[in-house]
Amino acid sequence: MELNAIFMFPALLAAIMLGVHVSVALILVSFFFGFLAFGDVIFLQMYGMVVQTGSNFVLAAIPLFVLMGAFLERSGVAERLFQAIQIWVVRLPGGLAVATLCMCAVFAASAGIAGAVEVVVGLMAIPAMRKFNYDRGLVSGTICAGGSLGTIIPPSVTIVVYASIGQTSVSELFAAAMIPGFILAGMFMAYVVLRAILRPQDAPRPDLAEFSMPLGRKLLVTAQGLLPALSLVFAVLGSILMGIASPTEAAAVGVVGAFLLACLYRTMSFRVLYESFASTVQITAMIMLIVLGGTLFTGIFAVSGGGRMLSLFIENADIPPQIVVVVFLAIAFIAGFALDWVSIVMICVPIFTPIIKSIGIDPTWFAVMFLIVVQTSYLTPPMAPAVFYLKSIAPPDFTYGHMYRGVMPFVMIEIMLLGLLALFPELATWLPKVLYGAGWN
Amino acid sequence: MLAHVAMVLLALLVASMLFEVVMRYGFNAPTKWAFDISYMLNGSVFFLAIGYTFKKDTHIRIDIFSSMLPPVWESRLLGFVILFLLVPVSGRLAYTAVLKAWSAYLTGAVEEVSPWAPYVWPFYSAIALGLVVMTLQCIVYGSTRLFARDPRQDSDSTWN
Repeated sequence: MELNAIFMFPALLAAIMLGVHVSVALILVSFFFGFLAFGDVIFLQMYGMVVQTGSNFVLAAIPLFVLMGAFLERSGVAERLFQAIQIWVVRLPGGLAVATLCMCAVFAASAGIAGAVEVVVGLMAIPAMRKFNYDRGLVSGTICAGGSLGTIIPPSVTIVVYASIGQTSVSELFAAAMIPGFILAGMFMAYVVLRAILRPQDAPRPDLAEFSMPLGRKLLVTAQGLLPALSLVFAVLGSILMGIASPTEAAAVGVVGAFLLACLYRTMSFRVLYESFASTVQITAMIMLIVLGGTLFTGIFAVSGGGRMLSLFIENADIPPQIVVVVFLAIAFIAGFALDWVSIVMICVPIFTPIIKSIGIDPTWFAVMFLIVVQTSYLTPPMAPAVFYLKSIAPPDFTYGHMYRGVMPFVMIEIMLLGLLALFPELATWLPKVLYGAGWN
Repeated sequence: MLAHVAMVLLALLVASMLFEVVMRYGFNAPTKWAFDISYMLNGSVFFLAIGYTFKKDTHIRIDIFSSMLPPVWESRLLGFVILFLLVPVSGRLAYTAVLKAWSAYLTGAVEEVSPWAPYVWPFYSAIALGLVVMTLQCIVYGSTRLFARDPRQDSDSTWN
């Protein structure tokens, strides 16, 4: 029986490579292995897990964050935000790329689905940067890297899913990801500025006349475009981090805020409303079905003795904790070549977390490392989902060559951040400790 | 149709969470139902929208390898898996779910860990209904792909 559990992984991989939906592959593989081990009772067990997934309180934040993102995206709040950020950073070297990254950081909320931010921001920012002859590699790298920020910059749906199964709270993980997330965004921007200074031909100065306007007008555009969106995001995050509202409640307030904002801009219409709701229920069902499949998969894996076998193996082989962490992260990295964020989290985290705790590693720190690795993998050529998304929206003269070269510096920055976190775990563990008192130790 | 119900429930989820926040901070009177309502509504939105999501084909599929097959075979393979493997499993699960919902209704079972102690049958019915519709939708989804002669080649939706 225990040997069976190990074969669940190759079976899953084969099903996914055959092009079956990830969630369906998870459900079918768990069903067949469960049926082999338990026979007919498996349906009752599976039903139990269906109810359990459906009644998870934490996951109720997902549709709300996605809906908030959908409102912001469809009602033109995004465009105004991009314009408002542009006026302030356009004078910096590589200003448009910096604006793109800022935009992605603010829009992390709608990253319920891998690639969503990338596509939204890409459609806006590619034409803007091309107009001023930005280097195609730089454009590609900026958009891919910006789009990947959504994994860790809160409020990230990936973090909500992680918290729901990683035996930790959403607020604590948000807090833990906050500092590394902003360091990462900062390093991305610093790289862009530096590159624009060293190689001005990659990021030519735009014609500033086009952006110049009287100070009064500038302030007005900012007040209208930047402040409302920023204060919305900060209000949502702030109330979660300060413990004023649960993530689900804060997300609901965010939805109403985004709705009112769109009404203020007079861009809310029945169509926008309907489309936002329709896409939100689809994305929710898509994510939740993966969560359900993942719950079944790891549940069956655990009851077939897979988890116990793995931890016994690690204990008996006396593998040093550092090596275990490196191996786990390497597995997540490889999984990220093909799988989306939610699936990776659902498959790996329930198996990894008990072992991580038992060998004395701080699970919060590990969670942040894990999310950054998944994000790096999303960017790393040649199997880079980020690049594939970009290819689907980029103009035809953007080749894979440009894109691969373009993302590499950003991959390097991610690796630097991982190194930093390994050397200074406090970057991730300090804020949750300050906010919520006793940390893991 | 069910998708519209899911959308309405989503709006209710927003409203009930907002109501809870207003009651708690505005009137210092937190509701005792917000917690149960939020997970039940989220679960219902999810189950009721699964079928719709199959219809719109927005469940994630990774076709970097399978797209190397001739499109007809890629589509037939997917159709076969959905129709002959997924449909029996989800059909049987739906059957279990219907029985559970029915017995919860007959016995008047309530949520035991909650101070509000709501009846569970509406939530169980949403699960059962969602699974039934998912199964039906998968029969359509699977058979159209299994018997497809000229599958659409939309390589753009690769990662969706």
